[in-house]
Amino acid sequence: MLTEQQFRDELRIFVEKMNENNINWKLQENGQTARESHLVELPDGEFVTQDSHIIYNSTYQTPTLWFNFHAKTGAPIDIEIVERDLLKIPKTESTASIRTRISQYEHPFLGVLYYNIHPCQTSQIMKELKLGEGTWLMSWLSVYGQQIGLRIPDIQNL
Amino acid sequence: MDYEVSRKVWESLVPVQFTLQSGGPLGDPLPYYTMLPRFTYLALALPKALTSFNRREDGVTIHLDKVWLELNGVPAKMYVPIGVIYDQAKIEAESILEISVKTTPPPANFQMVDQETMKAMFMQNIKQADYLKTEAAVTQAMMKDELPQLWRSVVNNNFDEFWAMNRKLMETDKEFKYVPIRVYPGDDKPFKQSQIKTKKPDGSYITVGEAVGELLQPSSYSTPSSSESSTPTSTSECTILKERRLISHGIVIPYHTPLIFAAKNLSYPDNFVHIVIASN
Repeated sequence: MLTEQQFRDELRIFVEKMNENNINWKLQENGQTARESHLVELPDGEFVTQDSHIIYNSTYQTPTLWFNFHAKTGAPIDIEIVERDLLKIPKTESTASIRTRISQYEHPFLGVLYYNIHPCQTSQIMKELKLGEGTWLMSWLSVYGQQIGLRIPDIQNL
Repeated sequence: MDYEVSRKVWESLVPVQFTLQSGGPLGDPLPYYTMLPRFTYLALALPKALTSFNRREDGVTIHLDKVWLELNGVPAKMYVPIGVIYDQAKIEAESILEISVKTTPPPANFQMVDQETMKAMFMQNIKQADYLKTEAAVTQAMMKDELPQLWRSVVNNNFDEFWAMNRKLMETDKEFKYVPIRVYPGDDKPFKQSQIKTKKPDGSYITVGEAVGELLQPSSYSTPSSSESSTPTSTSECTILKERRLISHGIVIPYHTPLIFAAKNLSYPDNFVHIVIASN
């Protein structure tokens, strides 16, 4: 559990630390979200943009990771390509199973569909990690960010 | 729960026209007219419209993944209940909702929602609503097939099957902790949602007007969510809701309606109360 004020404080520290490690997160919407984007290569050699946002979820009172992939034209990439080629989820996991943990939902600021990793288990997962002030989001991202291939600095060095 | 109200809410229909703009050599087929339940989604209705367009002899078959939908000049949201789209469309009561089916390259802010994706979003809504109401106690106690059954009854328009299951989500042992409510501020802006309680500290019921006022407060994002923030003050309600109507299921909801009544009787099948703000 994280209050919105705590989230904002953590988010500011998180962005500073990420920038010190040359990972380019930016605060947006008056410090309510942080955003990062970079290029990812598809198996056919095409490059697409991966856009990720950390946003406070006031229903679950936890941060939520939102992301999407766009072609050069700005068009979103098809869901099957996202699941199999970009997130590289093995065929052994069924589509139905993937969509119980990652699915599309309306982005709270942009109002268009983005993927989110369901936050309903976040509080429980975070309880099991030992956290000091200013490390909450970094630990959280080490759990959630790796599922979508986000770079995380070695926490030992922070 | 009031059986008559729930039945009326379920059976409420809106007229919808789908027009194909394909620019094909034979010209465009006749529009497809249909009456759709307010609780359903464009994601479920579009395949039927395409079947109708594709019935033409010699016509080019139009595939689901090659079209996008436009409404009033902007991409349509295929995952919002049709009743909510209708109430937001700024059309006269009972006039037809006109959806253009286009085969041009889709704009970046349109996303096709197929039935599988829609199902996943619906289930996420139900889980989120139950988290607000009971901290997920009901959905966690449900059997594996019970939630999919809710979705099936929406797809098949089966009121009895739906309520056999939905009763568990609505008639809970404890009072709702928070009320699942989404407010659509208009102008295609994203909906607002937060933790809104059912009662004030003095024990009186929070009204729909107060809940909407709280959700539309610009500061609701900047203040920490405390138990106080879900207890709206009457000043915020007055300043924000001045000369605005609250619409749900095509009817104007009086400000003083207890929020808990709306939650039990006016929720869409996704278990959220959906309120559209209309300027007078």
